[in-house]
Amino acid sequence: MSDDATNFLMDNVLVTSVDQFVGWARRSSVWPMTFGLACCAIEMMAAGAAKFDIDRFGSGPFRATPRQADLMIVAGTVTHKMAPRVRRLYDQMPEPKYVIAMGACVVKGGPYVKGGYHVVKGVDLIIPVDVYCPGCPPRPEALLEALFKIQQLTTKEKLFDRRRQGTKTQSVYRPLPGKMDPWQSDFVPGK
Amino acid sequence: MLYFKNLYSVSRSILVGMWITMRYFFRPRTIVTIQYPHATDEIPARHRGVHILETEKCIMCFQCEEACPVDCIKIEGVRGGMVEGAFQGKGALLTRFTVDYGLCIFCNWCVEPCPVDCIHLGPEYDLSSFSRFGVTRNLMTGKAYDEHDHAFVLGARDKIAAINEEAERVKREKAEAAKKKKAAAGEKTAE
Repeated sequence: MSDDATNFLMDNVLVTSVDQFVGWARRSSVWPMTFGLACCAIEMMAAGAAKFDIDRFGSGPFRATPRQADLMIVAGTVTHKMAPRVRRLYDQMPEPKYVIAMGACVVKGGPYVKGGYHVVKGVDLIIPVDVYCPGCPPRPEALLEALFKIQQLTTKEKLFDRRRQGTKTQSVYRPLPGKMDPWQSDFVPGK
Repeated sequence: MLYFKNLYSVSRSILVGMWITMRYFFRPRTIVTIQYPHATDEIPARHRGVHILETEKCIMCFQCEEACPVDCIKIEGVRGGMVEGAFQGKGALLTRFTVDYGLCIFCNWCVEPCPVDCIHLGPEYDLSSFSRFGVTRNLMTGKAYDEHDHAFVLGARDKIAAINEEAERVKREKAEAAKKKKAAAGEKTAE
């Protein structure tokens, strides 16, 4: 489909109503993947348990396969050995797919940033990330806040958005040469 | 006979086991779920969350920055002189006091060495952001460290360098003058 035709469809009255409906449906059933790598997974489980009950927002069913999941909560340290598996699991998820980087290790390397020879310094080096949720580990409430942010993204999304623009809302970190270690690099304004 | 004995023991054990579960039906009702966005869990008094900085107490001694095991605290400022828009500490002007929560592991090591007790770990936990760079906090304003803050910090660096240079020059001149005086005094005594 050409760009003009897609734009016309996106502005169409019928499709905008469908957009709202589909957005509501997607928002209320973001199914995460059962995918805990380290201690942050404990807080993820706590968010799923009775006290914080992630089921209230439609994210209760933690699917055991990437093919049934919408949301990947990367909870815990991503080692270099695990990185190809993380990438493969991400590739196996159907569109639309979202990623939450949960915990300091996944956001920028956390405690491993200086001496961690075995840790990927931020999961956004290998997969596009929608929402960053730092903390060591973040409280279950913080994970719920990240989920609300994902729901915000889903609500705003147009029907053709994902397929056409792909990773528009997501950010992949491409560090400058010579500044590979994020704790050395200074703040880069904007995205 | 054994057949009936087995039948009895099996049905009895099932009933005993199920009764433990069934008891909860008849207990007075206790609701454990916290309706999170509307009601929040009680945060413990010693919870280690987002830092709280009392800027007016800070003497800019860089002890927290040095103690940090992941180098997530960054402080810039000047003693003496005037920088427009800087934050007033105790005997120092602070232009930047940021914590990168993508690295911070909330270990409390920055709180312990502080000689004036101006930095604390507070009860706040929500740090989620859409961008890798949105997880850095400007502790003096309590908001995310954005482009405007960064532009201000970059602009202030020149001023700080100028002020420091000026202070160094004055110091050097004073030292030279003192040296001359001493030398002159020495000559006098030699005569």
